[in-house]
Amino acid sequence: MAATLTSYTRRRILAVCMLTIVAVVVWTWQRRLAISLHPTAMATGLALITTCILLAVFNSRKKLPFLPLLRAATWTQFHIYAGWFSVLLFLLHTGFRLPNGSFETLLASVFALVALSGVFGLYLSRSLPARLTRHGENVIYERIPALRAKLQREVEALVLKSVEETKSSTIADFYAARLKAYFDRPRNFFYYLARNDTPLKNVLGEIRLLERYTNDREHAILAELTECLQAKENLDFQWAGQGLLKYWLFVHIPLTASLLLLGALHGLIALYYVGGIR
Amino acid sequence: MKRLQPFDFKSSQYERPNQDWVCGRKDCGDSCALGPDARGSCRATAECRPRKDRDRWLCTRADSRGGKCPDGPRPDGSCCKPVSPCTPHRSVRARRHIAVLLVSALTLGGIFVAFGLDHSGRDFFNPGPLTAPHASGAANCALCHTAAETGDSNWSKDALAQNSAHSDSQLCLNCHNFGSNPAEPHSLPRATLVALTQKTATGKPAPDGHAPTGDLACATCHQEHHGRDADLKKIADASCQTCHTREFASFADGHPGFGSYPYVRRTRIEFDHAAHITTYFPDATKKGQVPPTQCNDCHTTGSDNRLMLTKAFAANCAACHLDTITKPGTKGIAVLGIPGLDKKSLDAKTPGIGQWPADADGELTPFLRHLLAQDPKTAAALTTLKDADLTNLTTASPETAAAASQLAWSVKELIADVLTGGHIALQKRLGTTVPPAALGQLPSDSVQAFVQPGWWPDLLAEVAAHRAGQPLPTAAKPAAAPAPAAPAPAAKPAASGDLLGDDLLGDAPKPAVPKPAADDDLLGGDLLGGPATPAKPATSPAPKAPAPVAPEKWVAAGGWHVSAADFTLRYKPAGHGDAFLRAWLDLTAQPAASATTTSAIFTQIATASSCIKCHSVDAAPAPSAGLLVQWHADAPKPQLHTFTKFSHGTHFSLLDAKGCQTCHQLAPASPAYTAAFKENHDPAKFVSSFQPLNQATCAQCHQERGAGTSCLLCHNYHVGEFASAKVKSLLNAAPAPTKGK
Repeated sequence: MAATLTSYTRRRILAVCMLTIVAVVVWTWQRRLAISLHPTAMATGLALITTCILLAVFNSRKKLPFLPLLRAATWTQFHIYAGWFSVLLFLLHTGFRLPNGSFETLLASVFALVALSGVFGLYLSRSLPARLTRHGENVIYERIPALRAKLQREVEALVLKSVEETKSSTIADFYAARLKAYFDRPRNFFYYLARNDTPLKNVLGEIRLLERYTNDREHAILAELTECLQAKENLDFQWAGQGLLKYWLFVHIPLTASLLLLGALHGLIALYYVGGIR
Repeated sequence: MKRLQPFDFKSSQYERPNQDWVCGRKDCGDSCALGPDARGSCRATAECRPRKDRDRWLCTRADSRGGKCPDGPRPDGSCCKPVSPCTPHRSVRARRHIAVLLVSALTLGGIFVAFGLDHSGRDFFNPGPLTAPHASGAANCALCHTAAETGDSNWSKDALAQNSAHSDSQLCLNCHNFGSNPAEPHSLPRATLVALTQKTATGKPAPDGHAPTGDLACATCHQEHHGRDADLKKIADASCQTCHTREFASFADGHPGFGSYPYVRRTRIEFDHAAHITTYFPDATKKGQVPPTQCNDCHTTGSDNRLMLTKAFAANCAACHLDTITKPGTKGIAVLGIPGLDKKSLDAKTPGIGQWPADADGELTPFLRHLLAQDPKTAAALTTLKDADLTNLTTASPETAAAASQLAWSVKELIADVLTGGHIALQKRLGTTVPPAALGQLPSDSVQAFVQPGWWPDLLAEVAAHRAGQPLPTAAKPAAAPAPAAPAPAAKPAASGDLLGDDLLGDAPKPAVPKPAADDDLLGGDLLGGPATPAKPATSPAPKAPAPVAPEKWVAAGGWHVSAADFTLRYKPAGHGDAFLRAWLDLTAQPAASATTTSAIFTQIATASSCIKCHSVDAAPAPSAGLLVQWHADAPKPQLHTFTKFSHGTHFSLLDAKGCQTCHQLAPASPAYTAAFKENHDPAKFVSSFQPLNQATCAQCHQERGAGTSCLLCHNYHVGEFASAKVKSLLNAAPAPTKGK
């Protein structure tokens, strides 16, 4: 059976096994300390802040691609599993209790937001790329505005061409009334997130209705217009998907910085009142 | 589907998403080749920068942007297609970086603001509300944290200093008291803990936990800042097993046996439950008495609802046992008396001992011997006379005779001192530490019996002369002869004439009223009727006058009386809890310099009274080497914290028809119970009237999902005898000085 497992699956199984073993060891260590009446909060707190710093180093590592510090994929895997491990440390540190001090509640909330945003990011990074690949042409995120502008220029040229060739303003009027706003900027962000293509179907349905009032030449132009609409829909989908893959970090990374600052202060306060590491 | 994005070399532009700035026209697909600089300024002036080749300028526009333009550069080398400047915008990466900086700045700003706001800032950083009893100290961290005493200026030093948990514990002990070993496991002295550990050792060493190192901080178990209603005493059972390594599944499965608990010592009051319930109570019923029928006829719960207390003697025992104490018809205990002496031999061999009743033939009472032994000279004489027969000194050596003379005069002097000094003289002889109860409210008229005719009628004069070194007064009658009716005038010593002169009419004790020698009755007609008058011959048989009651019968309710038959002053207990006997039993149970004389008193009282019949006598706790009479049944001691605790009151509702015997089952009647009280001062050597508790009875309810099985449900951690809270209030306390002044 092992021969049938992919490398990806083997790596995941290995990583999960390692995480489980480390978690059991740490859990046992903490319980043993607690049972023997040692102050566990200082030990688990130190482990937690160290883990958080190691997790944060991942972002710095991405900025230093020239350094021979393992592959980025390895760092990513470490980041993911160390993140789960930090959640365990956090629960052990708090004793599975909700904090009741204002500062500690803030600190715990920030940690929870960082952890949840990390889990959300992991979900996005595991689900969206495949959807983006399956959906249509893959485009570079930074090029999407330019491609959308280019597509809009092509559509407008097509509309002008229809007026010149057919001496009819039917398509032009339809473009001005219905499509121009659609091409002006990215649209239907949340529809795409919800895997809902109703907006595109509605527009395509209107084009099909329009075909009843147009001649063959205009049918050909409408067919080209339909292709452009589908390309625009793909651009919007890529914009929404890739944007999400980039912008979830706007929550995760800034809050991580805040978490490190608050965590360091929390550690200092603890050291101040307990007076040194036992 | 229509493809929009070219990837060929000539039409695909190079993307630089890691740069902070992006061309303002990029979104229109018309970005320039140079792009913005690092500061976000547009560097675009034309579509290309012409290159000079020898004497000609060549266009350098990239193929992806249309290739070389047909017009080419101008003659001066500038591009012919100028580009208007754009407004670059930040890349996604740069915006994220700004978000990081912004959130970090907000966080730091919030921290500084919180620190800046003094009081509310501390509230903000407070890790949580204190429990209700500690809540009043929430505003002052220094009450519980030594680090806070030095102020915030030394925070870095304090943060890196040695752990302050132990110094913080000292602050806890400003209010809480756990005896003299608060940082030791179970707050017990090391030696005690070691002894207990050896006693219950499982052979398995304690892990590296809080082995008896003496550095257990309060915060090890008691975690504050978890809310007003947090349970500071909550601790996991597993923590107990750090040291208590004997493993067991639950209370019902494997918990160490109870052993003889709760019967860990004999009862303080000797009471054979089995004998009473099976024999004595049925007998009492036959006699028409009403013995107890239920446990709570004799027992009741204490104020804390925990211990079952024994009701008082009057309620429980007096109906049957009061007569045992008062002992009608007995004489009581001889306290003072005139010992028998061979006066004739002594007068021949010594300067003389004055009057001495020839009929006196008793020995020194233990009380008298103890009083005499307080004087070093008399103590030496007593030692000399240890084996001498004082009633026959015909062959006595001069030393023995001298010692006997010394003893005789010491006895006389003692009685004379008591006569003239009263209780104060007695207390002076016994020492100031003797409680007033030990004097037994000795009445003056009882002691005056010593100067009645036939005893020492000239005692005071003789003692005065003896002390002055003068010859004894000659007016004294022979001791054995009956005294004259009138009080014998005492010779007046030159040195202390006042004593027997005017004082006799004043405060000084008066000579006893004479009475017929054949009649010892102090309350005869002479005393009540004044000087005796000769009876006139009766012309007809006079009715027989009722005889006065004998002194020992007079004091049926207890008190002092004179026994003329043996020249003693006796005391009869006034009932249960007699203060005189109790005081002397307590005094003589303690080790003293004069151990021989005190133990004789203890033995005398123990033999003659009924105290020790019920009140057990234990060896006093170390370091005392004496004894301890248990005057009371077991009673709650609020300051005593034992390893095991049990609340009787909370279990009453669970009892069925068997009542208390659900747990306390009577053992078969056995003489071993009573035997354990005889000649045994070790309370741990005993036989209980009850069978040991059955652990399974408790386990019926104490299950994990029942009444609970937490260790601390039945066990205390801090054990010892201490008041839980320290009271530090001072009378006329001055205001505390302001800190820093």
